[in-house]
Amino acid sequence: MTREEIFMALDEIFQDEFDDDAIHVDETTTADDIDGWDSLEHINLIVAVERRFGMKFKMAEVTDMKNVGEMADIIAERI
Amino acid sequence: MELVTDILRHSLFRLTSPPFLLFLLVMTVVYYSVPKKHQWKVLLAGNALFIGLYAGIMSVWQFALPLAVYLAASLIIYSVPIIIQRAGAERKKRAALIAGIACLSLLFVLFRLANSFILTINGFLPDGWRLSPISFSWIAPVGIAYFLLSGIGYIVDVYWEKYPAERSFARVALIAGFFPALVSGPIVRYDKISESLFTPHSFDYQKFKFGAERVIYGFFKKLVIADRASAVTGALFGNPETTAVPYIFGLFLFALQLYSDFSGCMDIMLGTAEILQIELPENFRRPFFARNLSEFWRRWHITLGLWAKDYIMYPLLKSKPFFELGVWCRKKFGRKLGKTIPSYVAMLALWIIIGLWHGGAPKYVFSSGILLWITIVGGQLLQPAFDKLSGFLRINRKSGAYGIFCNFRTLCLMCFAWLFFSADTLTSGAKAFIRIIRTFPGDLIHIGASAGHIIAAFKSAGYNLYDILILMFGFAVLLTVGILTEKMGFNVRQKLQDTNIAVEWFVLFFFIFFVIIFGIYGPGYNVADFIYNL
Repeated sequence: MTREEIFMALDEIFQDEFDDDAIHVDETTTADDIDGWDSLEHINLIVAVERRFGMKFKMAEVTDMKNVGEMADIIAERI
Repeated sequence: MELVTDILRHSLFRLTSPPFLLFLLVMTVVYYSVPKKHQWKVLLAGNALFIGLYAGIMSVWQFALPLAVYLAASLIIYSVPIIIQRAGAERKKRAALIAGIACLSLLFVLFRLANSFILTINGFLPDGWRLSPISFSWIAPVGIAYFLLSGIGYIVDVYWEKYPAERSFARVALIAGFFPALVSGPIVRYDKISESLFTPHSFDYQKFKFGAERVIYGFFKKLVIADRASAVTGALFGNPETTAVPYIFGLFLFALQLYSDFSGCMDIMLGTAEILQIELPENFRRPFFARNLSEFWRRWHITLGLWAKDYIMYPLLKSKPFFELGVWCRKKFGRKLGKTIPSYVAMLALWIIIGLWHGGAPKYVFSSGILLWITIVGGQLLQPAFDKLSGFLRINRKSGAYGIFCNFRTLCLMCFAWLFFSADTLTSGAKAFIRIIRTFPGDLIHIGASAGHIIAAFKSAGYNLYDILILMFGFAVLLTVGILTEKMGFNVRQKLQDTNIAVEWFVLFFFIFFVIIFGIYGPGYNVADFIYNL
């Protein structure tokens, strides 16, 4: 899977989770950029990403990720 | 001199009593006098002294046993992460993790919950069958509920490979029982606090002054406001004749009391840490400016909320059973509920654990647990209905008035929870609630009688008009500082320093003398304990 493909899949997941088709994520997107991305939504998002890509994040990564770019790095490493 | 020795001899060692101030003074002088590489050892000695003195010096056992428990708990917190790190197989790591958490939880159950459980069970048993309470609580070191949570957090962090285990027992013991975080938290993170604990610090007048100012403000909150309000709320809640309006007044006053008590304690402790240049996390961020309950819990007892999120909520929702529950719910109830049901179940587990942590009694599990879960989840489920209603009523949600309405609504919901929290038992809380409903219409008709009842409560506490005015002044100070910080982004201490020196010192001495003159002291200069002293 290329990086573009990962981001396309991430777009779908984010749109689905936040009920908003206008959402597009990129390398620098953070929780501050998306309305409703609070701590509960964060873990729901993590679980949705794990389900979609069939991989697992480490617990330390869940809380330490700085932006969607870092999330994509971890996904690319594990699929 | 005689007066000073007299005060010290008759005071309990509590944060707001003279011996603590002496302790703080000695600590500060020694801390900044020793060679810098030994500074952390001074703090470690401070921990031991603080725990011992807090327990009492009536006998050697009273002083030493809590210290022994603290060292034993520190030993568990120290050794388990090292075992986890050295274990090769995941299975062994996991076993060590579970054993570590189980040991620490056992200590908590023994010292904090056992008696509550026994008393609760006794309620259901006939005479002659009742169990006698076992009192271990006197050998529990102060703040055990807080440092066990921090310790569990540390063990789990090492298991998650967030950072490596600390190799020195003395260092772990220092973090575990760091005395400014003992009485009522904050719950510390080992990796965050160790940076400033083990760095050398030179005396810094600016930080010393800011820290001292914060300690004074904490004294003001605790001694002038909280302890003054407590006699009135006690009189109102303790009287079975108290009707609706006076009771509701009492609940609002209790909100002021609890906030001043708990956040005042935090100010004293964080100010103390600031004097020693150790960074502790904030535990409050002006909670009464919250617009809903979820936000309230992100502003009140912040470190507990963050701890529960990281170590209960996230692992649960990421676990296999919850994943499968989500899949099942999606199939059964569709996408939306498939996502929310697992979150609600995890939140219920979280709130029950937080309720238990507050003390084993059913009133805590209800008022600090299940009830909050019901209101948060209920609020989220009813949100679409509220949206429709406010659309229908043409309410402008961006208006300031609506914001204040939301603040007030959140305060009322919390007061409802505190109705049970402040009652003796869950049953007496429920009885009080029924009484409020029953007498409310009558009270509205006889509003004069209600006011008379409130005044009678002030009188029975031995107060007069001055006390009412002092409470109102205290509230005005809290509100002003709150609005300046929250709405205008002021750093009050910095602003005070930027004014001219005469104004700064006038304000400082005004508060010092205000606390000395108008603080509430018990017999023998003793002060009341903190409500959140778990």
